[in-house]
Amino acid sequence: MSFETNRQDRLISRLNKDRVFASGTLILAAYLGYQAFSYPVESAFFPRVLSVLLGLLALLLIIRLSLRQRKERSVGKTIETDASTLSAEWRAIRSAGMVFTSIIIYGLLLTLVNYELASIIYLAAMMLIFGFRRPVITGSISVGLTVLLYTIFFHLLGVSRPESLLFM
Amino acid sequence: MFENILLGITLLFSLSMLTAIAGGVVGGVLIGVLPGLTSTMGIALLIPITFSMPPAVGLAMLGGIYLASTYSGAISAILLNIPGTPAAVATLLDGHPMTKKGQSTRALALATFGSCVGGLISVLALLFIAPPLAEFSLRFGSPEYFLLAVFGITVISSLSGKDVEKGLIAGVIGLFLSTIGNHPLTGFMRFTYEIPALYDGIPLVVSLIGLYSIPEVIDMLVTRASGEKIKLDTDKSNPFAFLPEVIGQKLNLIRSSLIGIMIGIIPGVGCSIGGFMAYDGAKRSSKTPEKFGTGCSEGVVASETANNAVTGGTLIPLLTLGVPGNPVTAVLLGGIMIHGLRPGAELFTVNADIVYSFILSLFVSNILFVPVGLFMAKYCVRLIQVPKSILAPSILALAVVGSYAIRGSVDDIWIMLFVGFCGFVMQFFDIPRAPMVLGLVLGTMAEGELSRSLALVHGDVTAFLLQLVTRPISAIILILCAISLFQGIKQQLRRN
Repeated sequence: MSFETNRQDRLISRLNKDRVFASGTLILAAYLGYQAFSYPVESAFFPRVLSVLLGLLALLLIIRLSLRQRKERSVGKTIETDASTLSAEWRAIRSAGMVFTSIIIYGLLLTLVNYELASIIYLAAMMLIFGFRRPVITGSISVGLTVLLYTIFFHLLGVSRPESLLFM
Repeated sequence: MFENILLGITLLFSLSMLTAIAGGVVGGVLIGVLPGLTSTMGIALLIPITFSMPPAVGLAMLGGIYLASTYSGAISAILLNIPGTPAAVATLLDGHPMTKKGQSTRALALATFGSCVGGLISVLALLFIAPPLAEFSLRFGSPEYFLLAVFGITVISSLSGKDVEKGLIAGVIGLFLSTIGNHPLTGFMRFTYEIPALYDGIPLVVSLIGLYSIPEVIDMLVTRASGEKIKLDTDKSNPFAFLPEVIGQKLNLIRSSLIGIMIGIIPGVGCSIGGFMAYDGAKRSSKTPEKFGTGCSEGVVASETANNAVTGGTLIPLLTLGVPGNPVTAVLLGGIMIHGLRPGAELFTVNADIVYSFILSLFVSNILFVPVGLFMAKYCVRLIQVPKSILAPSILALAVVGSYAIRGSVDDIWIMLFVGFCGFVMQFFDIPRAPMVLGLVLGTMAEGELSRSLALVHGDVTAFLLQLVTRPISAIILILCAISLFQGIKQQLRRN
């Protein structure tokens, strides 16, 4: 596949992504508008204006993308997406899934066991999952960072530690 | 004004202030050196630490981080050909070729002294331009403040992305997020879905942490497989020996500083453009333009002087009108607002001690990053070798604990996660995040001022719109909004 074809494919792929984004925004605008118009006007004038504005912007983007794609098609560009772009996108989605799941687990651990244990387990596990395989350094960094954050937030700034079910 | 400066000096020379400035500068240098850690992310992550400090101390620390991180992006740019921050991109052009010639200490010294001079001149401009501008803002009423918020979002939306619509959508989504919770005047709950944590709205700092840390960590994980071995530099000459060389470039220093300040004042343009414009200016007026790009000292001095001069420039509209010039100052505005301060005339009168000590602390930060930067530069390079598999979990842990610490509530971790998800979706679809931040930061002010303006005309929308075009200042701001949109559309058309 030539560089030029790759470039065209990436462009089409971006157009498809943009269209998904614009459609999603339109649905979001409709939902937020429905909510905003159900509140009294004096308390929801601003969100009402915003929902209409959001819808209009999404429509504008959809129209512009359609015009652009028509132009691309008229000069004979394909609608396929190249494999490297797709794999990078899947990598991003997979990494995002991993990050979000890990934060949910960390948040739950904070309320289940205490801050210290949750942080050490979280940091060590994440380093391992992300590919760092040196147990002594992993352990030292996990403990060291937990102590550092504890000192800054809970000792120096006087924030109270999250309440946990199992340990103090 | 001079009484206020004296007041600021009294506050400045306290142990807590000086420690905060030093901490901010050291932290800022580290943040700037590490590619992937931006000034915006650094400030967003560190706001929780400043939250319980007195406002003057907290702001001095944030100011130190801002200045030092803008400067220290040059360290990795010069030594490794990797700009630590976007501000240092122009420095690559001549900085790294100097390293290749074995002159890394000279390049670092030129960049450091240039940054210091640019920063100092821009803080001087801030000190003398901001107070009269703040006094002028006394003429602003609710419609003008509402339009200023709209102007800020329009400018950043038009200039920060490839498509104007996408930038505006991001700005509107940010404004929407700011409407969650009770209405500023009536107290009516909106979009809270009976979740108590949302009754007071989405906490600004928590959302900034989510928006700037999570997408960056995801990006870090996607691009982590770069196994390139970093070659450490061995040039051990005395950096202070190059000070006369920088002082000798007086015209270059003044021109680049002025370019930087002007660029900083214009919202949405940013440090990297300032660096490039000054670089171009230096090249045009140089007797040896052919040497640019091969390791020319004028190029390094110009770009570094300008990008640090931008910092003071961006603070002028921020402190006087509440309009941030770039994403970093948008986050900084959040840092100012969580301390209960409001930009404008009030900041320079009622809170004069705080704002003047903040401005004066910037002088100290600008001077302090010279020894700190020069000392840490070579050691910092080793930090770049820290694997992303260690850096990413550390940032996530700091984001989680920092979000919790704002209100001592685990619910804020989930809010941070939600905003982080929004940030990821935006990054995935190539939507700029800066307009969303501005929407979030300015949303409450925009809605409050809009409600007050409408109340003044008994809820008559036509009368309100008429007011916007008939009041001279609001009409000017409207024209500026139109110009910024026009500029954005023009740029987009040119690109397409």
